[in-house]
Amino acid sequence: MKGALVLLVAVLTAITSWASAASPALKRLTVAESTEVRPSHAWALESDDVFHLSGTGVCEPLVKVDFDGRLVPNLAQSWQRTDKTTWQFKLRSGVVFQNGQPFNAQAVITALNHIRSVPTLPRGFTSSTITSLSAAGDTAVIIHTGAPDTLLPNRLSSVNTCILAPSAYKAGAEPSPFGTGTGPFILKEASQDSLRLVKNKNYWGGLVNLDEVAWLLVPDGVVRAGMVRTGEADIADNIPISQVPILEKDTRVVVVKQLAPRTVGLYLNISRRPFTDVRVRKAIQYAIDKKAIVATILEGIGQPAVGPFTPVEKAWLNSGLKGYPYDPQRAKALLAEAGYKPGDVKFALLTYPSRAELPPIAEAIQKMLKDVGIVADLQVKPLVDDDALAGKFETLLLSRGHLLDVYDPEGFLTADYSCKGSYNLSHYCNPSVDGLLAQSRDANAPQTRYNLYRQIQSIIVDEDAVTVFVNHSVTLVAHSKKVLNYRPHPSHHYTVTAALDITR
Amino acid sequence: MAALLIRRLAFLPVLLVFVSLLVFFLPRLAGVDPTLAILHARVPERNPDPEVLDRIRAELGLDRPVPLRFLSWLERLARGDLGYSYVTREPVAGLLREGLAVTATLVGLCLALAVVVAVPLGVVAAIRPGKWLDNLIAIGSQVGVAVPEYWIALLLILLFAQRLGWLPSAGWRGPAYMVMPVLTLAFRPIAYFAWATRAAVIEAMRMDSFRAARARGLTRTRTIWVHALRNALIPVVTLVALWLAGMLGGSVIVEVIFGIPGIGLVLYNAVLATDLPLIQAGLVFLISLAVVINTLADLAYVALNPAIRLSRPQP
Repeated sequence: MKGALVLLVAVLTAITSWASAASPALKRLTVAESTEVRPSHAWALESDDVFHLSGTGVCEPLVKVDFDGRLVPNLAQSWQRTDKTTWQFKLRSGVVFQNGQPFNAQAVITALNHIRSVPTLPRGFTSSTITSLSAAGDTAVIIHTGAPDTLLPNRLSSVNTCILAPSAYKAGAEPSPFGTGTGPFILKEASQDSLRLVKNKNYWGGLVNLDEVAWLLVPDGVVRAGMVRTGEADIADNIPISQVPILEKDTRVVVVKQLAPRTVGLYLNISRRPFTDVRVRKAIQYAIDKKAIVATILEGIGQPAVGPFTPVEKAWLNSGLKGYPYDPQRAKALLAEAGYKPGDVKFALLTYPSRAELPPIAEAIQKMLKDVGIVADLQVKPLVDDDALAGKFETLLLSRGHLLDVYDPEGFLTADYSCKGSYNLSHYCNPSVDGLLAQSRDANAPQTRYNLYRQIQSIIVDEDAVTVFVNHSVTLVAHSKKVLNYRPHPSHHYTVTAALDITR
Repeated sequence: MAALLIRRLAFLPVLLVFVSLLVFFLPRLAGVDPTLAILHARVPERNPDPEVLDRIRAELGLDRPVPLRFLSWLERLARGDLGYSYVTREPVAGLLREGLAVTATLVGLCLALAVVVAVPLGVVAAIRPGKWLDNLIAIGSQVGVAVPEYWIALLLILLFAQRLGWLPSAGWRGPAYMVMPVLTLAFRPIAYFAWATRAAVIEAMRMDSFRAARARGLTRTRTIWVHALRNALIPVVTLVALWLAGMLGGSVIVEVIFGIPGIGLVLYNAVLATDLPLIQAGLVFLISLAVVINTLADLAYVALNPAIRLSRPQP
């Protein structure tokens, strides 16, 4: 009996060691992705579906926003503006589509013409953004814009404009991303809840570390977070704040906090009294303890804000802003100077419940204002954009993303802070700001533009105290300690890269 | 029986028209602008280009008056053209079909499990009513009905996936993925079915045929399991059909938590994205399915129940 058992164990050991020796250890990484960005069987590149293609390293655009938030060459090696409405993009050599088709000017034109012809254009594009495309030989593309546009390279860094092989685009159907990208991974299979990718051995960007990637679509945040702990996933994207303490206690897991280009701010309706008086606005600024809000209500997950832009946006951030450190005495003094006694200033503080952190932050603000003699009546109801834009509010606590359309804050600054801005909730109008914005649209060099944005930040925050910027939002990603070279991307464009690796 | 069938089926189109009216107009009454919905479904652009909006309206006929749009939608629905999803621009019919296939598997397994577990439990409870086993099953049923699905689901995941590592947390990629979702969904039907079986068996034990069988010398246990159970199965069949109809749309919580691409998750995502064609067609489809299943259940009940069948006056 004992002899038979020993024999059995020996046989089983031999089989398992043979099995593991027979297949060379493939490096496989699994990502649990949230499905707010919904995938489909048909890949509409103009929709948020495309984040699944760029995130998995399949599809790449001409220009790239790198992991430090800078615009760098990608499939285009360089670009220059030859006149007010003409740009020339020189294409990188050595790039080949995953199905072997050549990467050249004609292929880029086919791809860009597709994205121009869809009925619902991607963010940052209107029908006159690009008026025509032509090839200058095989390796350069000439692009004509409808109006002078300094932001064309930024628009072409949007992953919606990523380039697939010409054979991917068929009339009357959505493009096929299977084996038609240029990126480090090739899409092999797509099911209703997962994608399977394999290494692209001919990737122009160099060696790809991983052999296979599984991209799982898991709607529930708690379950996604749990999958990193069970080992079902190596990376879990967008996990709920409630899971952070649990994951941080697990020694096999790392939680990464990435500042998102999204800021929570208390918007004041400047067209109404008492907000017409800058001293009242500054008093409100000084009355709010942003550090305490982040530490207690957000449990440390976030960062107190001075202006609208986050420290990761080094290109255009004005890091010299003075801002308004918490100083209730100064707040009271300013109110007195403006002629208001405690209890004189009363207004409604509006916010909405669809972002869970907003109502508690509003409550904290209400309390802090009360401490300096301002009475804020808190109202929580669903946000109606049109009402807010029509000025039917006094103050509004809002979460605002500022890099939604194009990787440049010009759209946000124009919409929110120019006199005729389409999202100017504050009803703010300062001709200097409008002048600076107009100059920035004409500026040729990005540096010139960014310096103008810094001046605008100075006016909006330090001079006019238009909006009380409370905190910057944070996105949370959890990954196993076995994962190497993972960095969260500032705009969530790229997750799986050539450099991403995993230990055995 | 034919008369019943005809009456039921004649009612169906009326019900469907009413349902489609509701499903079509409710979003519009809530202030949803279809054009903005299309745009937001694809590109969350806060300030859309008016030219793009006009182009979409003209292309999709959204500039026609609302009653005309409703009638043309209804006409296409009747022809089997369920429209195209705003989000994926794929035919809605295909999306619904795929989702339904997954949910049907989930629900089918769940109800099969429920019957296999609940019927014996109900019989056992009926054998000695009022005794400790019966009370235990009664309490179990109450708990099964009261406990929320999302709590059970997360508890199972915590135990079997995280602590023990026996089962995967989420997805639908094989038999192992089916265990926890099916278990979660099965709690309520088990509770109801067990209680219904118990009541039916007790009822059957009072019947003359039962006493006759006992008089012929069969043991009490055997009589219950063979004779009473046969009668008790009739209401259970009806219950299964009713639950089937309800669960096809009602499994959405389980589908979202476990990431199962069933019809519940399809419609949940559609609502989040204001994907009107998918929401409208999906709701009409699910409701029609529910009505058809209920009708068939009624017919089955009549067919199986000798009391009703035989009590009709013979010509």
